[in-house]
Amino acid sequence: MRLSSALALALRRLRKRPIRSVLLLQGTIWGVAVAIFPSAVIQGTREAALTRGSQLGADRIAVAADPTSANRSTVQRSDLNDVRRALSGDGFEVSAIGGVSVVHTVAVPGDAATEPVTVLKSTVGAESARGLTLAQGRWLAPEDGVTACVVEAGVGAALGRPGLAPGDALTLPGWTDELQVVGIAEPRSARIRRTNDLGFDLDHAMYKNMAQAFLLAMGIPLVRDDWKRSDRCVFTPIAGASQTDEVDWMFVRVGSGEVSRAAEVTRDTLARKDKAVVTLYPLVLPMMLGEDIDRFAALNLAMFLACLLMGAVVMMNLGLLSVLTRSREIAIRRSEGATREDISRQFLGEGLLLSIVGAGLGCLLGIGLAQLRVALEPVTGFTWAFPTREATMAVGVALFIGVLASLLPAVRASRQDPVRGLADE
Amino acid sequence: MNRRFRDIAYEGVLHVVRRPLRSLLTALTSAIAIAVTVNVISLSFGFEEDIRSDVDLFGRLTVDVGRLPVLIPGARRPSLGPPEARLIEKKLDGLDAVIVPRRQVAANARADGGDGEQRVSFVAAPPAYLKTLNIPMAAGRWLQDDDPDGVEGEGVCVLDAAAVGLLFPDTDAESDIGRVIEVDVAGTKRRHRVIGVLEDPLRYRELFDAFDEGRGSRTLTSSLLSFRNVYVPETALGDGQFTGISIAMPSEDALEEARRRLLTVWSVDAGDPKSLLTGGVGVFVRKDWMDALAVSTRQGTLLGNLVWVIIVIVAVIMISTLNLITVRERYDEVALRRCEGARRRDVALQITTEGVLMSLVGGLAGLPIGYAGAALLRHIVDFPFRFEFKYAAAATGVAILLGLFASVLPARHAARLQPARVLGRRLR
Repeated sequence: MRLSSALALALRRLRKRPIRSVLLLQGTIWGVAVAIFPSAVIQGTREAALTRGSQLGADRIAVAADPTSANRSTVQRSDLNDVRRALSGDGFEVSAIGGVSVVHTVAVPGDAATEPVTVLKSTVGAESARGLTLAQGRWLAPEDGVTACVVEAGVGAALGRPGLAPGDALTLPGWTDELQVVGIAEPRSARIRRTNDLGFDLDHAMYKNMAQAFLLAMGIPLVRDDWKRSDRCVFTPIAGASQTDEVDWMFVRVGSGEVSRAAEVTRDTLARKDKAVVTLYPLVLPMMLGEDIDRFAALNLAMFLACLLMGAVVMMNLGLLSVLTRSREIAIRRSEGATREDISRQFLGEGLLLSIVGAGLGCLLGIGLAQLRVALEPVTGFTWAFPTREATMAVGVALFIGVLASLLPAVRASRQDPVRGLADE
Repeated sequence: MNRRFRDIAYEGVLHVVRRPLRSLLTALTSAIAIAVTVNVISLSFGFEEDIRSDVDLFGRLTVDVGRLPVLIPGARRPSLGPPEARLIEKKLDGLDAVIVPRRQVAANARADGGDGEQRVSFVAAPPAYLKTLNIPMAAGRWLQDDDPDGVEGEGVCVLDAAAVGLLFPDTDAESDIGRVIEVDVAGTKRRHRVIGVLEDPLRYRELFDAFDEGRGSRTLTSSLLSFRNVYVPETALGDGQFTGISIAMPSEDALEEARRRLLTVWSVDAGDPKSLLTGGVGVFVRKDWMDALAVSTRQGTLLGNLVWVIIVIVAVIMISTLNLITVRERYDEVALRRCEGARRRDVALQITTEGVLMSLVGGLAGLPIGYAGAALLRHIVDFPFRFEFKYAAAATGVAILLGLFASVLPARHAARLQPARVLGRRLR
């Protein structure tokens, strides 16, 4: 008898007793699911952080004066240069650095409830340090006067000028100069517009109910910075070239995954100048990119093996039982001409088939768990991808253990004496 | 124990012994479930208990008054200086409060002659500051009134154990007394001789550090409780504004009274995120914070518990399936026993006894397996597993429950069997 017909026979048996089959498969299902689910999340999130890091803000550090220090610290334009120099000196690739101050807000006409239009005094490079991409025109340049401006995508609509384009003049209520638009930024995605500097989705229930309180308990400050998410900012140059001009915020962009180390260098550099600052950057994405998380794969492996072992024990046990209850079937098949090998092949085939079905269901369950985990996570940028390598390994091990577990019943079955099996009834 | 029960239990044991392979396999399932249980219990409960006892060292009865950790660029900077300290003194009159103002900056320090620069908190505090903590000295002594402050010439300092670990990585606390550190404070280099070392209240510092991505986002005030501090005499950072004022209270009642009185001066209780957004100065009760931290830890370990619940449920279903099939195979035996006069509940009791016995045996076997696994994991991931008798006892309890739950269906099934039908079919 070939393996295929053994599998066909096994399939018929499995379909005849669906509930028992699912119960039997449990161990394999859970085991494979447990093996796949965390790797799916880690791998997906890593890929997202590396490929879409700038969109997710995974490469950005925001720096502001520490609100709790005894003496008021300020971040000045000269600090920008010092930080850039220190970071480059330590081998970081600084893709953008800039500073801004919030100087004026304009309530949106007829819509007082939404975010106002915010005018920012900014250094050259601040727009790209904020993570914006250019849609039309150009960024601010060193030679621009105080009337030049770059606007975010939502400004035109907020001020009732939907067709705002580079070259247009812009008058803002309460702002003396008539501004000249030189560039317009691409709109940002809705998801990013809910995400704060720490990488958390502010509208996520888990953030509001759990994460926020935890972050506060860990000593991470609250921030009033809704302008960052409004998509309604107007960037104008800081007048003059004074290096002592203060900025409210400094933004630095380095490689994704390097932000926490770069932030440390930034803090040390400013501490040397007797400046107390806090640095805000996505907290979870660098951790996902780091190596420490891999150590926890061991924990996962243990769980995987525990599930599979438990499954194997049940499979073996049920296999042995079914050899007993099916002694008549075995005897008849033997008397019909089936060899010992045929019988053992049939039992092995059943084990293999069970494992294949179980591993398949386990993959599905694992992906389901990964999706659940991603949905529960308040960190923007958390996502899942199918972990081909881990899945292949898990399925392989599951099949191996499954066949191993049906080995003993198969041997038992083939050794059964057909005469006694028939005489029993 | 009545005779009947003893007979039934004996019968159960006999059955378990008579089929060693099957019993072994069933017991193994329960062993694995219990091994996982032991792991999870020692991980989550042990961790939470440790965190609780650790944070108690931070000074449970201490209240802090400080500027709120809220970033509102351009906001007015609230005053917190000697006048505010005097105001607190007046407000808390008669409560036996120890009022300890401090000034604090972030600074880079290195061992004298060493080259590795380390970031520490440089804390200028009066001798009474130690009363706001429950941390014992690991070596040497705490600051006294006439200690030199290091503004001119060499000063003294007391270090946290973690700061010692950073600055003098290769030696123990005792032998670090008398060594000198060089601290870069506001652009000037200062020399401080170590006169004492505080013990480290953070048992799992390594683990925390590995995952503490938020350390750079912490404010100066809250980084005080990271315990990488260099404590120096109170005059070391001049006489201007304070970074914070810590107040040690003698009892829980006095603490609540102090909170009430302080909130009449500064209306913000720093436990509530919404009220924080106003900025200004707020009142921060360490007890609240510790409890919040314990709750967060519990929520964090919830995931681990969830996995465990799944494993145990899977085990119950698996053992249940096994038992059910075993019962099926024993129709004849059950029917015969019923004919001999056994009642339904005797049959149910027998099946249940067997089930509990097997999962208990398996569970006991699972304990050492679980602990071995935990020890291995601890070795690999450096995770804080705790091994305690009570956790083993709890796991054994789980094993018994496991057996009970897994026997409910099979026992019902066996008890409902119609003896006449089974035997009739047999005789046909």
